[in-house]
Amino acid sequence: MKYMFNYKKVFIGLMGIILLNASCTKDFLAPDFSVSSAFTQDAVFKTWVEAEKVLGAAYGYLQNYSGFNMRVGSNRSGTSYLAAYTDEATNSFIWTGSWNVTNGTFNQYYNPDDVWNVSYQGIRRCNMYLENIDKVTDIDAATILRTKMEARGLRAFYYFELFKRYGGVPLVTNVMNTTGVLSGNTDDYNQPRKTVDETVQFIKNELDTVTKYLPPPTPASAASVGRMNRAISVALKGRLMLYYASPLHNPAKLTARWQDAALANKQAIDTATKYGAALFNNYQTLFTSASRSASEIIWFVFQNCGCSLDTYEGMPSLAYGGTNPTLNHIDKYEMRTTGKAIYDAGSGYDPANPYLNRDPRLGLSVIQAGELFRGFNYAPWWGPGGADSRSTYSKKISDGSWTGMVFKKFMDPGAAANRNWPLIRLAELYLNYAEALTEGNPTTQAAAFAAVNTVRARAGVAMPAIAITISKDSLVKRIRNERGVELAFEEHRNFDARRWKTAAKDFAGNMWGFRVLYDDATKKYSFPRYAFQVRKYLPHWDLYPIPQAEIDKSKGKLVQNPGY
Amino acid sequence: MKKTVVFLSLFFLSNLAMAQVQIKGMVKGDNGKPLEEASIIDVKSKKGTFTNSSGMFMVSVASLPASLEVSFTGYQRKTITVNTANITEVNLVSKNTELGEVIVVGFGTQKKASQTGAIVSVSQADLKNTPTANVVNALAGRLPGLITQQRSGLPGGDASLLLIRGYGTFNTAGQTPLILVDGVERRFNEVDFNEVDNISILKDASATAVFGVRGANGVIIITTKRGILSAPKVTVSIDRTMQRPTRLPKYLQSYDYSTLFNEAYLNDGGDPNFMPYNATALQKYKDGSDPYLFPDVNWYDTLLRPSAPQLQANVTVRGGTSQLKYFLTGTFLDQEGLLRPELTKFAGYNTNTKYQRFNFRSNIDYSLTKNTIFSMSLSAKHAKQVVPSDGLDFGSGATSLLWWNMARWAPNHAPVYNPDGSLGAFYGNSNLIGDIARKGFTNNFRTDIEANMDLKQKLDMITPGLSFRTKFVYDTYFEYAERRSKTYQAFDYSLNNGGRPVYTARGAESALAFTWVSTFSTKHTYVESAFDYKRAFAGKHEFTGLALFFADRTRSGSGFPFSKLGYAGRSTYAYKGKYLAEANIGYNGTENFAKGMRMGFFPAFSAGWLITEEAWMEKKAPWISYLKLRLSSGKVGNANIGGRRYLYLPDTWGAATGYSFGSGAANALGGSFELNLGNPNVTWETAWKHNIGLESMFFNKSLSVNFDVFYDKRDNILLIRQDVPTLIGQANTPPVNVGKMENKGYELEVKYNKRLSKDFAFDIGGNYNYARNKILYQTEPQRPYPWMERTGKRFGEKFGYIAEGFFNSKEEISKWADQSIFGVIVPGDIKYKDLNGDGKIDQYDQGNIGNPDLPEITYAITNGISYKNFELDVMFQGVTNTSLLVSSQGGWEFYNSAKVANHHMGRWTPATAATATYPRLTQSSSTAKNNFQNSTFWVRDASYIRLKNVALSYNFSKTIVQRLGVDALRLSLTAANIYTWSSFKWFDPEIRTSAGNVYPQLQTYNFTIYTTF
Repeated sequence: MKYMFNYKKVFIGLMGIILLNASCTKDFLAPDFSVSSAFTQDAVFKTWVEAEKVLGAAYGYLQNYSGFNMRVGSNRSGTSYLAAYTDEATNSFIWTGSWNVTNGTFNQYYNPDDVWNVSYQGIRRCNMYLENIDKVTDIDAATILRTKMEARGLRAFYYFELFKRYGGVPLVTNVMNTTGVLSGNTDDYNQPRKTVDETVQFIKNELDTVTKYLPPPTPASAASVGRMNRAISVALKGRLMLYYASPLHNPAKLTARWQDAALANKQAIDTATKYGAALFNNYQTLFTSASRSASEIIWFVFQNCGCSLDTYEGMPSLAYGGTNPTLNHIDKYEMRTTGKAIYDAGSGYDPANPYLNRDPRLGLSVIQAGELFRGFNYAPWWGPGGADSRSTYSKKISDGSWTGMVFKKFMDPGAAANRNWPLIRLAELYLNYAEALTEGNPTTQAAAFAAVNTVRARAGVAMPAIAITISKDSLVKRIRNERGVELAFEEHRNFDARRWKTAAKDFAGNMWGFRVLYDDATKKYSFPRYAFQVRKYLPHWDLYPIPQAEIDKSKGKLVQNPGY
Repeated sequence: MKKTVVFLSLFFLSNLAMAQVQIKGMVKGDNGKPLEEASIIDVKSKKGTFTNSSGMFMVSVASLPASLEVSFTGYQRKTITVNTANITEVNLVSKNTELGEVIVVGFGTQKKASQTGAIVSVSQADLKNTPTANVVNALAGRLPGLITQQRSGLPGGDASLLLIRGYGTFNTAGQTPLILVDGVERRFNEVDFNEVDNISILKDASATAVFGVRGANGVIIITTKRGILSAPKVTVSIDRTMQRPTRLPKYLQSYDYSTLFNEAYLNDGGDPNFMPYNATALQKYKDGSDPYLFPDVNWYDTLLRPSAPQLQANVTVRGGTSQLKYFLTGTFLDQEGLLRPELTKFAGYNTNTKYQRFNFRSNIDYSLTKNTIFSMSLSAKHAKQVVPSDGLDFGSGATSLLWWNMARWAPNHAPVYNPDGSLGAFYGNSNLIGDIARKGFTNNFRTDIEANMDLKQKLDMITPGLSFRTKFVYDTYFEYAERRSKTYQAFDYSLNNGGRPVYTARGAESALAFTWVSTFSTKHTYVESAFDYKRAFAGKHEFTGLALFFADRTRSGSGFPFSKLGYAGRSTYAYKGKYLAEANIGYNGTENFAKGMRMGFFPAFSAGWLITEEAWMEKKAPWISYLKLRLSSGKVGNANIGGRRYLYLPDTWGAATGYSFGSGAANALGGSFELNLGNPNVTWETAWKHNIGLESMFFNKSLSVNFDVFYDKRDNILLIRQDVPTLIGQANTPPVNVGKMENKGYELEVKYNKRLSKDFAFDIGGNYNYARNKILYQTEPQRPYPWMERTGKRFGEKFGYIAEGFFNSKEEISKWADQSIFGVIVPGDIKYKDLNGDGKIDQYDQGNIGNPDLPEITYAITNGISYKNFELDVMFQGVTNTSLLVSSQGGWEFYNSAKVANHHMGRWTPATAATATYPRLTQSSSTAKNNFQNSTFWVRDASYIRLKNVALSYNFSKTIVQRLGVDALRLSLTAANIYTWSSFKWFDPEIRTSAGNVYPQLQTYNFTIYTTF
């Protein structure tokens, strides 16, 4: 009996253990207190310190539009500069996205420069800020107003980036919530495309509004440089109006649009110069060490480092091959003395010395055979010693230049300094203005010559002025040529040729390079030309394809651009 | 006094007499194989011993004749009378119904005969002929329903992927089974196989319901050995192994490389007057006359040795009395890597991939009272892995980069060594010898301490058959990694215009420095308490019951602790040992779900009928020795749904890319955005599992056949919706529980054994497993054609175009569907089938083109022969219905400036059009190009049959063993992955990276010496 009693005790004790276990476990599965105090939207838009970071994230999406990210980063794939997708250049590596596109693969399934997704993500960030920032109370109303205008300006830029690629696009101006994702009703997220007119009108109205409220630009040394300001919004409008007037988006050839564009760009130039913008006196450092301080640069994408650029875009001796400028582009550089195109009679061009006496911007934009750069002698010639060529004498045949040249613009010849990617600079505005003014009028205007000649007269470039006597058609040609030279590799060419509807001609057919030869006996180079690639370009590529995945998800609401 | 003396003398004499009679013998089962750990008890003294692995025993009795009781689980107990000190052997007969055999089930053990779930197990005795560094790699082909896939051979990083019945869910975060070591969720890769007693796999709902939200993918339970009632037995085994790669990719050398390069150059439109490699260069590559300027490097030959050694040594002490039982073991493993050791030594250190491990275990059971057993199980493991350069963990980092570069770097790029002995520079300052030896090394250390304390209390005094047990577990894992780095210099070698050598330095030498350290620790506690009940009434009703509680918490790194909590219950009923019923219940959950939704209820029911227990069976079909039918059905969960933790919480914001204003980085504005969108209703996956099983034995148990067929359906699979337009502007929309998938299949196991004579016995058997899944629902964008749909197809199925040979002429191209979406098409390109018949090839023509990575069918054939003292075991293992999508360096030519391989020699040229096995060559292989689209051309059948294992053992005869003074001595020669039959030759078919450039699987040749004393 006593024995039994003990065991009952044991049993009760054991039950006790279990109950104790169970009772301890009442909150055993409740996560740590700190888990539930996670950062919610309400908490973010409670204090200015946190809320401003939402604007920071909206700005952060600018990185997607940096040309450096084409090669260095991962936001736009293809691992080639956008220049290599155009007649400006090619890439050493034949497997890169630019070769695929220029060999004919560019469609709704394959587009290395597709920005559809990233643009709408940037837009959501702007919308998020706009919808919620009024809840923040620990900051003055003026700052809220200004930053809202910044967000709207950014959003307008992102929409412009969509417009210039795809034409009219859906205009999302609110933050879509996730209720439909949770419930499975995703139809509400689908919106049809707006027309080109509606899209442009929206961006224009937005830019007009923000221009009224945005502060003027600050000196380059100021802490706020890089923020959306009045000079930027006005300049963006100038660019927008130029695109809207261009043949691609102006099928009715309305000259009024050119006139609007001229006016907008005039306003842009005036605004910028009023606050101190001026052409910088060194065309090389403008894109390297001075890219953070030159007043010419109206807006940039901040880049912490472009250093890997110096190896990736440089010559194989440095590490790898990279972007190789084509003769299709290089031939645009005029003769320095005569100011004539190299093919013009009496230009003074010597095919045996193709780099001699050319527009100084050529020597500042490309590295030529035999040039010493960062301690290495650039050796792209076909034959013994041609370490940077695609010949037997190179250790890196696949890295060698196709054209006997490589990039120099953006590359730091000395210490690898941080540099920014230029988004808008004053020279572009002059060229925008000159183009719009010329296209919008039956005869040439003195102001157009003045604008383009201002760019040519830059200190250190000092190209002869374009004679005021030439015809309107010739002037258009000269302005377009000047644009090609001045804005080389800055991601303009890809869109300029499209909006002019000349891409089908310019981007197709033979691409030319120098097959550089070196005669050891005479120590002389020769520069025979050869076509290294026959490119394809289809006229419907002028507008980018909307990604097929989005067409599929839209259940018929999104309509693809014609031809795809 | 005198009396005392007499008494004492008698006492001593009797002791002396007891010590004098030593009975020696051997116990064998009815299949003729020695039985290890059969129990021998002297009926008179109640003292006993166990047989060793050769079935031998030695027992002391007071006098002859003596009575010995010989028993072994699953066999009929036998009492023999012994008149002589040397009996030859005792043959035990296995019980008709195997009623005695006990198997490990969830939270306990059950009699094999009466259990009704789908459970299979393998004992260490079956694994001992497969000595691998990693115990899971020994499981291939051993257990029906277990699918293994070993994807790398890296020492310390070679664990196989383990899956029970394939994939039950398409959520890749939670496809693998729950793995328990001694009842607790633990890492198992580093368990030493000498410690393992038994591995059970639990497949159906009946077996896994008790695990609730952890059980849907099946459960693997590893049980370690414990002490036995015996005098101390010491076992020593030493394994010496040679390892070599199974199948390495075969790349072409400089001459072929440059010839093909020229050909590709012309195909790409190059000018024939300016060939990349001129005639002089080709000649130099051919005759090798200038190995410095025209090098020909084979990195595989340069860096890898023909074979690498591995050593494994184990000492085990096992024994016990009725009060204290113990199992103590220690193992040392030293596995070396394949790199040539003379290359990896540099300046006083050696970077060769190396894996060393010490395992210690002490499992002690102590009977506090007649009814109370206290057990303490301690395990300590310490592993050290050395990898060259900056290899970050046990399996990635520099070692993979090494394989990547070995496969990539062209053979003619630079010489390994320049004429002056310096390293030749490849890309930048790289040279693979420099990379493996002169960039320093990383040491990864890992220490595991695992402790189980168990208390078992019989409570028959309260009610007969009741007992209580409680378990407290404390595990701690500590990981430490350190890195020493340096840089090195390589030189470009060339001749200047005057023909004098020029060395251009690349990179710079630096001193070895301590550059990085990382620590990571995990603390794991587990508590479990349970009541067990087991009782038979009136000789025909048999009940068992289980009520269990557990709580589990893991703190790891810096994250919030992971908590699990649950209750489990089981009740079984057997009527007359032939009608069986069982209910299993799990009620458990994790902290990962919203309050009120944390706990889930998971019931399962099963029933069985032991047909051979019916009296009429004996008469009607006496040739059937054993026949059982079982059925099970139930619901199990899977809380391992991936994504981030606490998905139920409201949308949370976090750091996003910000932006810098101002002329420097000084005015950085941080970024903040909705990082994690919540789903308040998030829950676990629910699996509905059904199983029908048949177990049978025929002809006096010489033939056994087991068959299981199953159907599982999984609901609530967590996924990110794929049908949300990008216009929402949020890449990470909240995951939702809407996916559905089914999985069905069967397992067949057959075994036949026969003793032909006293000396000769053999067995042959095998298993065949099939599991096919189907995605029933997943959010998918609208697909205009049914073949494009992923829903309704298998998880991991490959999609792409159907290749229909090569274009042989321009005319053929113009007549074929338009493939210009991939650029300009020329003869020698792959032609694709126009599935929708619209005259052009585009995404709409992509259908399912290949089997998933994981085989649907796995099988194994085993064969054992014993002749006198020899034993031979052979296993073939195979898989089918699996394919591999080869791409990039694994299949393409000149991809990313990489090499060309043997298979590129079969390329299309106008001359070889009729026999070409590969499209025309190009230097621009990329996913945008026609020939490099995912297509049936690149989907390769990865089925294979392997001679997985051959083991030949010799057990020394008793006379020799006795002369040596030991109990047993065995020598074994084993070999693993000896030969592979597969239509895929490019690299090992079990590797599952499309590029094929990983540490290869290993072939091993092993010599073992094993002795017990």
